[in-house]
Amino acid sequence: MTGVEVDYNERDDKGRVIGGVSAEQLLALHEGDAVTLYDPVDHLSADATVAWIEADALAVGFDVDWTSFQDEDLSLEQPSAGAASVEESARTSPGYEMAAPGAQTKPEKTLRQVRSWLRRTPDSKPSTPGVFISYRHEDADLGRMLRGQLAQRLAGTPVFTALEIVRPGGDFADIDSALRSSAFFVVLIGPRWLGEENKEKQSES
Amino acid sequence: MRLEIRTALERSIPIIPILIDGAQMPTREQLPADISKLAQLNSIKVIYRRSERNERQLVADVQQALISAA
Repeated sequence: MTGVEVDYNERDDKGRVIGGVSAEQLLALHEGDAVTLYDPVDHLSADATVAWIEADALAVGFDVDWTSFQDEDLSLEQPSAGAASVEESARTSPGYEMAAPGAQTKPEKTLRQVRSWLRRTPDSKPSTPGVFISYRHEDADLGRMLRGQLAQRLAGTPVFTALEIVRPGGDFADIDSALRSSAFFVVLIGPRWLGEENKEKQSES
Repeated sequence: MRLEIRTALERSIPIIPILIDGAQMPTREQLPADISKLAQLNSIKVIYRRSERNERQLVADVQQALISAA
């Protein structure tokens, strides 16, 4: 897969850059894929090659062609002959845009922010790529409150709840798809939570 | 609910249990076999007692748990 555009224009309340890219998109990436990184806020764009994937943690490392960072006024340039293989794949990807000669200077601060998110060092943990909240009907008020608050605080992060996905006649496929986009599963366990589970067990056995 | 928990366990999605109003973490024996792994998860538990004042704290604790688990 090539030419994936990764928007990272969202920032959390501490000013850290978080990805607008979905967990699903990240999981669809493979090593060597060429992607376009784009930050509408700072009008920056760069081309990158996926260097490594850590699917469990939903972490993706990008080798960024820093020289292509420039101002919004982008122009295309023909692929240069004799480029290294990884470079080559980036240069020939549909989304590739290269800096025009004498392009704008690099906004170093933004690059550092972007790199800190994309590189995912232990000291710079990113925000969550998706949260699934599971709760019983009895705890629905709390579940809804948590969903609303988390969605607000983790801007750009999808927050799912099963009760909102599954309606009469609904399909588990929808939950399945929500879980695929979730890196975390929060389960609200109230005092009567186990009662239902036990009841289910008895009726099924 | 059981199906979504089972799916989360199967996919090794980190699970953060939130125990509300004195609820206990179920033991392995108390849970249906397909989700019994839930009992022995080495996960971050958030203990919460319902009150208007506590809601803000719950959200903050859950957010912190998400960051720690990332």
